[in-house]
Amino acid sequence: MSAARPKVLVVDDDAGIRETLVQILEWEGYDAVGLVDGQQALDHLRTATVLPALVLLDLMMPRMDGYTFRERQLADPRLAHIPVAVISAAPYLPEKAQQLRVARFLNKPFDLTALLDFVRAVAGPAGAAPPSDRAREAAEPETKGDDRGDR
Amino acid sequence: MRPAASTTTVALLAAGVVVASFLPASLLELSPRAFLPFHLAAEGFAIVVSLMVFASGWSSLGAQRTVNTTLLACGFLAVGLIDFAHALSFQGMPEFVTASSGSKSIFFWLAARGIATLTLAGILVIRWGAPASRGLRHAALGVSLALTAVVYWVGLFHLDRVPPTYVPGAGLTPFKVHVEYVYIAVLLVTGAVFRYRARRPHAYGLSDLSAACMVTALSGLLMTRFTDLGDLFIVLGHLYKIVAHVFIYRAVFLQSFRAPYQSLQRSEQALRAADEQTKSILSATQDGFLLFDAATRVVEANDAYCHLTGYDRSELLGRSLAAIDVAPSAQEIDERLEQLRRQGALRLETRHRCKDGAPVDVEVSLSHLPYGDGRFFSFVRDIRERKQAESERTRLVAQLESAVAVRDEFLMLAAHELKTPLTALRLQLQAVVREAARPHDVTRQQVGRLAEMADVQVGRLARLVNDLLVVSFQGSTRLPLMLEELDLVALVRELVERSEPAAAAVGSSLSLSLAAPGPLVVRVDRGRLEQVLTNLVDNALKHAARRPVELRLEARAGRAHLSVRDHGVGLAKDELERIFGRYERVASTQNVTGLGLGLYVSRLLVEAHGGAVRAQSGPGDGATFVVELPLAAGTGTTS
Repeated sequence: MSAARPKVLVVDDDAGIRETLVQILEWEGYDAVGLVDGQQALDHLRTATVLPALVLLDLMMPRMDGYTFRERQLADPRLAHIPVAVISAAPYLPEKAQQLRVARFLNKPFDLTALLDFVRAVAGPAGAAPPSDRAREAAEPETKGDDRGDR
Repeated sequence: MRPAASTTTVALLAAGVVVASFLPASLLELSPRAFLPFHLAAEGFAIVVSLMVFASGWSSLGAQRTVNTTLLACGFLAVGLIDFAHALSFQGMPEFVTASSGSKSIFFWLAARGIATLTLAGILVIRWGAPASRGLRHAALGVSLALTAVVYWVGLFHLDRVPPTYVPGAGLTPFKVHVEYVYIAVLLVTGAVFRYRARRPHAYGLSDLSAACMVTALSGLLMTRFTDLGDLFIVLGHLYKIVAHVFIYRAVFLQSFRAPYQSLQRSEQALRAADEQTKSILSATQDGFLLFDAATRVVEANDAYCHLTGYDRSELLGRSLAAIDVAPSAQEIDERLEQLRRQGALRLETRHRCKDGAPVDVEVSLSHLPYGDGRFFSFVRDIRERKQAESERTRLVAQLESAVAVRDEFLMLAAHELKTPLTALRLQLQAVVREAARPHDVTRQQVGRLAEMADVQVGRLARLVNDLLVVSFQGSTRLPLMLEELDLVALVRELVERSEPAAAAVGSSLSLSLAAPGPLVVRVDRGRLEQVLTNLVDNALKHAARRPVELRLEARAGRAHLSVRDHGVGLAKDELERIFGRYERVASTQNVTGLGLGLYVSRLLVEAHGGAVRAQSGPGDGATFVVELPLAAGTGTTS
């Protein structure tokens, strides 16, 4: 966990995808944080001193879905600027997804190289010095790999 | 008289003439003193009959007031009046304006016979039954009276201009005899034509007219033979004349009075028959029938309608349309009646009220009667079966549509569900490739970790495909099972051991308690049962909330009971009812991913083994899922 590593949030209720993405991004040199739903992601953003350079967001999640998360995020002036990429398995994107003003739609199952290229383009190269306003603090990563119930 | 009877009469009279022709005229010799009253009586009778012919014919009514009847009436008025002169001019009678004589009375006789012959022949050539106009009637009467006047004028004052007809002592002149022959010839032809025409049905009086012609001809024939006043032929001739007049009277009377009466009777019969026919058709038809008066009240109802609605006919009579038709409003009925008035006929579907108050679906065909008196009738068809079939079809179509929609949604979600582990799997494999491509950074640990994660995803995929397979068997085909006897205790123990790492991963733990030592043998498909138990344990761990999950195994009443209990948030009552249903997740919130097939598939599999599943929960008290399976014969204990 070096201060030079850009932070990327992975918000997906599916443990397989979330853990895999977090693991790969870590290996690629990013500070990846896995979160199980929109509420957890929002809580993380509101309490974190270091804001992520990118949020990878699933749409269909229990408790708080991706749409609501994005709505709340955009409504919060401190968080609104953080770029978001949607990762979704929906066969087609609903109309309301087009209103989300996101940086990219990645349809599952997506290509890893394409994803990493995109992450690099948006969040900056792995291990590079972070922008001054994203000075990372020694924040404990949120629940990585927690598959808490969707009941 | 029927044609046959008049023919017989004519034949007998003809035979009489033949017989008489062999007899001497002197066989009968009435003295002038005896003959004169006979002649007067005979002529008087003939005159009365002639005038009755006139009266009957002239006063005939309606359709019987025809040209034929009018001509016959007016002709015989002249005949009667001239016969009157004939009778008064007879030899031995007192002076009638001028002195009576044989020639004078024979002149009037010939004139009367001539007019009678012309009249009969005349009505033959006129189209039978043509109606007589008022003008024609008066013209005919005028001609008749004028002719009579001319004959009187000649007979009384200018007899000398007429060829002699009778020479006292010598008898009839050839002129008189020849004129009679001409009359006879015309009358025979006329009679024959009438006879021919009389064969048609309802040809009233034609056979009588034919007989009248024939008998008049016979009378004429006899009158050519007499030599002396009072001899056999003159007496017979007058008697035949009376008979001939009676036939004419009958013809006119029948034509004028009996025919219309009989026609009326026939009409009444036809009307009654038509009425009966209509009634029998209406009672035989399967459709209901109602006849309404102008005030829309029932005046007739058939058996089928009574049967349909449960009313007696007498209960329906007088009932108004508004009381029968379950129309939305009285205004609606008025609108229909207005439409019926405009179009003359109307067909629509409505409902009629039965006697018990229940409505019945009917199709009614309304039509106005053609008499313009506002009456109308309605055929009422029972369409309950059709309506039922229609609504059944609609229901089935809706059911099928919703089944297809559910299936479509299921397929969509199944595809989505399969994509999730595929996404993870693909990422892991691509990461392996990526790591392997680096010259030095790759570590065994990293590849091993990725392969381990990939294996988990493959396991998920396999379970999903298995679930889909089980669900796809729900329909026509039975799920195939490979049954074997195995110890449920051992199986559950293995499962617990295998699932411990997963339990630890979510901060939970698994424990198994047994009610009694010893095996519990069940006859099951091992793979399928493992699928069920894995589903239940996974489900419990998912909702364990970092608290222990407890499994308990016992035998009761010949069945093995396995309970899996977690201490999570538990299930609400409505969730308990739905949780084993198909595609439970489909019906619930969009926010929850996954098919929710696990418990549904578990239920299908357990039931396929002859067992049962159920869930118990109190709010906040966690949930307990219980699987019951029949024990194999001869194993297990009842505790």
